Amino acid sequence: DLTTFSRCVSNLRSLRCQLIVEALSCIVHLALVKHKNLKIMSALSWMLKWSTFSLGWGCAYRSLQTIISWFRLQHYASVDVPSHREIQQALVDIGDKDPSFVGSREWIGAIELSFVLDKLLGVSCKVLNVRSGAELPEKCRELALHFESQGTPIMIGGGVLAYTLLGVDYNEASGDCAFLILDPHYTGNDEHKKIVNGGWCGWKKAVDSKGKNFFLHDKFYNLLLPQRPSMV
Amino acid sequence: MASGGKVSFKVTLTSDPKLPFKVFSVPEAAPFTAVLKFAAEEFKVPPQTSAIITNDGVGINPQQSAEFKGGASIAVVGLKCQGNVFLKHGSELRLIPRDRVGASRMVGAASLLE
Repeated sequence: DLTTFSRCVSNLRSLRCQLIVEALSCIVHLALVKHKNLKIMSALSWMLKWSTFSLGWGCAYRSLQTIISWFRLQHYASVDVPSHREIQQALVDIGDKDPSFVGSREWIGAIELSFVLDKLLGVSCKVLNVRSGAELPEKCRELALHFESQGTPIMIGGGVLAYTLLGVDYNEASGDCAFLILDPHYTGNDEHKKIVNGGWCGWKKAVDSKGKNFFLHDKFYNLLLPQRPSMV
Repeated sequence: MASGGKVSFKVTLTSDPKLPFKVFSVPEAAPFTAVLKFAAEEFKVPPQTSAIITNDGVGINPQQSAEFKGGASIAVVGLKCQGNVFLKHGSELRLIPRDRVGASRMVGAASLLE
């Protein structure tokens, strides 16, 4: 039920960044050049087609698959991207879940993702916890530093939703910021125009033009920041 | 901090804006699950939906951190991790709520910047 990307390319250091994503035979190209302090990161390698079987419960799993795929494409790992069931089994193997968890539709979050990344890839993670979604814009500088130094996709868990954060656009002078979100709730075919034009991979401001908050102010959020291996 | 067969942790409850903390002393041989359970009960939060991370934000799997050993390779805390090293050294820890996510929400083109 999963498809793989063939290649991702990213330019981590340049102010003018390109995010090129190949999905199956399609290419999604986002050239983000308008902001001087644009910090964009990371080749996203996993654009999941939301299969019916994970509808309504699998978004955190899919965010994890995105992260693992990134590690594969950056040649930090060679493991196959695990299925939802394999992710569940890993959590059972380390003792975080009971055996009955395998095959269930139970939700997981950032902490479980950190356990699986450690178990399957030997990757350590940092967890950033905020008491309210209102605090997330304040973390933009720290997130920008992460994308500059680590470059790994970030999983955001809060409310009832999981998102994958690919980059931040942070204006140091004004404090204004935007988040490059890959939404693992996407359903439909692997058509890049549909994905991008539909907002399934794109920039989100903390408060949109209609005054609606993207992050919930009455919910806490955990952000999972995978760390690149320091050894060769 | 280790003395007399016990190790101590300072655990801060991050979900409370006042950042209350408690210092726990547990036997060296106690599993780390005991630290999580004890800390959660002291702060009156459910241990099943809580997790412990270091001050640096590194997560700790209570099941993997099996035993406290005197003179363990992980200094100060005195924890011994089996297999993968998951714990950064330090005796200051944070108790955070675990998120569980999975519902669906449509994110349409209207939410794009442009």
